Amino acid sequence: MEIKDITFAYQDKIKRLHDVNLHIKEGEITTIIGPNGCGKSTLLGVITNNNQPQVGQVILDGKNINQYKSKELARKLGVVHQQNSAPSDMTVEKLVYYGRLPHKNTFSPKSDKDEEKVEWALKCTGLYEKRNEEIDNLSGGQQQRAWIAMALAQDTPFLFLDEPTSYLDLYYQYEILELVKMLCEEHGLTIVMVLHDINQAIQYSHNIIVMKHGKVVETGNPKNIITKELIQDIYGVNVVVKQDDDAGMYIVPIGI
Amino acid sequence: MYKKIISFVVVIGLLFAVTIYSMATGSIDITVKELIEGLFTGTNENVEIIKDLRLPRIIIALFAGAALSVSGVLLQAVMRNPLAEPGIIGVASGAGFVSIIMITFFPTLYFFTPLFSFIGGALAFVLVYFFSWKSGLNPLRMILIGVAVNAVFTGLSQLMSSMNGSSMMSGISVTSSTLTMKTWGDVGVIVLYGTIGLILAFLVFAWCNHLGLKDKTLKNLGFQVNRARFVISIIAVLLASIATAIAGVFTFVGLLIPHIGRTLVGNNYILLIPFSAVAGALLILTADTLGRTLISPIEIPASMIMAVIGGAFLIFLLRKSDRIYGN
Repeated sequence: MEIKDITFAYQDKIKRLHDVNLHIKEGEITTIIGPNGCGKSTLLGVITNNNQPQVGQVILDGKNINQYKSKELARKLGVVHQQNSAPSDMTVEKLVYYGRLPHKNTFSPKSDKDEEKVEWALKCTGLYEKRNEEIDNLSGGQQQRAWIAMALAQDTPFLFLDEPTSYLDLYYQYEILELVKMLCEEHGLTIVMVLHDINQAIQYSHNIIVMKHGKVVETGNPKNIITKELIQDIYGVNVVVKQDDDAGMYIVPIGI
Repeated sequence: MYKKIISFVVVIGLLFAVTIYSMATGSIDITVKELIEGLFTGTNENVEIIKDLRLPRIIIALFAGAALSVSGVLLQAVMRNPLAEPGIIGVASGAGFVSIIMITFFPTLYFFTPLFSFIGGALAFVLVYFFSWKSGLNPLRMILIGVAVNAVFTGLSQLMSSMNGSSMMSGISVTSSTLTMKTWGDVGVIVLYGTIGLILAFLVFAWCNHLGLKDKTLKNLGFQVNRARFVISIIAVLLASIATAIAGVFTFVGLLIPHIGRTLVGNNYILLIPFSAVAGALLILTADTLGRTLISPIEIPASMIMAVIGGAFLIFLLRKSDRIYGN
């Protein structure tokens, strides 16, 4: 996926993204990091066709994403948004079936493939036992996994996650990250996500995109790009960058 | 699941019972046996009178109730707003106003009343949508705009009424509804368009369900949200306008019944739409029947009785359940 010269502003005309150029490597995990308001989620919105850029284009398989028919695009890109809502009495399984929408017509019945994919998505996310529970009765971590399961049932080569670990306890954060890793390694999905925790980004990503004020500052393998100076520049925080045999590379904030 | 089945069975049973009771009771009182015999043989004079005077009224009450309730259900789905209702957001008063204007100035076009109603209802709906859209629909803003649009159309209609006396208004009542003096011609119109509207409403149940998710989620699933909204809205406006054209303005039924339905049969529109149709028909018919029999020969407008019964029942249900749609 190629992101070319993207400039984007909402109705207020303030530019949220300036001239963004990126290449998303397929079959890898790419994480976008940066301070609040730097345009991470806006960028994710542009590459998932939710935000229409004023300038530039996003090319997927040789074609601009806004040239795709809506269902055709939905068979390529799955997206899990940061905030989601569903009717309170909807069951997990019903929700996950929504992921099959792009593969069907309005009146077509469930196919074997639908069932197979939904079952797979439920099992991947560890929700198979909970499939008949109502969404409202799940914990925050389980709800997040239910939305990921919906995107998995969509059966897309690309999966986009907007801050999938926010508001979750440490355990559930890692549960989601392990799931992401497994999806990439075992099922070959290309994953692009937004994370707040730099250490998690370092640990789980093949590539990191660092953003500030709507611009891409640095992009590449975490080991090559994460430095004391970069973090100081982007976040204004003093850190030490450490290397450990067990933990790999990590950063420790020590002050501002 | 049992609760859903029982709710359906009870409501359908009550609907039959009230329909029969309503036919047999009134200024001419006959037994159910006489009624049924008369309907089939056509020899009982009283039954013939009932057929001419009471039956049209009953059929209109049934269809108006079903149409307004389902319209409320659809509007709530489209606007994702638990307070959306054809009466509150001005669709009904818009429908009434345009009909009055047209009939006042072009009395010969009386038979096009349903069409004018539809245009008026659509106009009000477009106004509400247009004025409340600010990069998304804010539920509170939308209801306030709706209340304002409703106030303007209601006021204009009252102005028209007071300017040219009431004789022209025989077909349409603006601020409350009466179901007296209905003919088989009225029945034909509401049955035809009402049935079409109800069938269409049921066909879009899946879209209504989809709209329970956020727009951006649906968009990423390749679902064309705006097209679905547009189609559902047209059906909702059709149902509300046809009911208003024939039966007058019943505020509140489109709010009450869907909420009662949600607590009894859940949020899945495949059940909610048919349930609301049946329950709405039951509510209006019950209200109208009580209205004309309680202190006869004085008639209490059905809309008043409906508001009293329905309101009390809704409070009862909401107190019992911990879930309110949209919360």
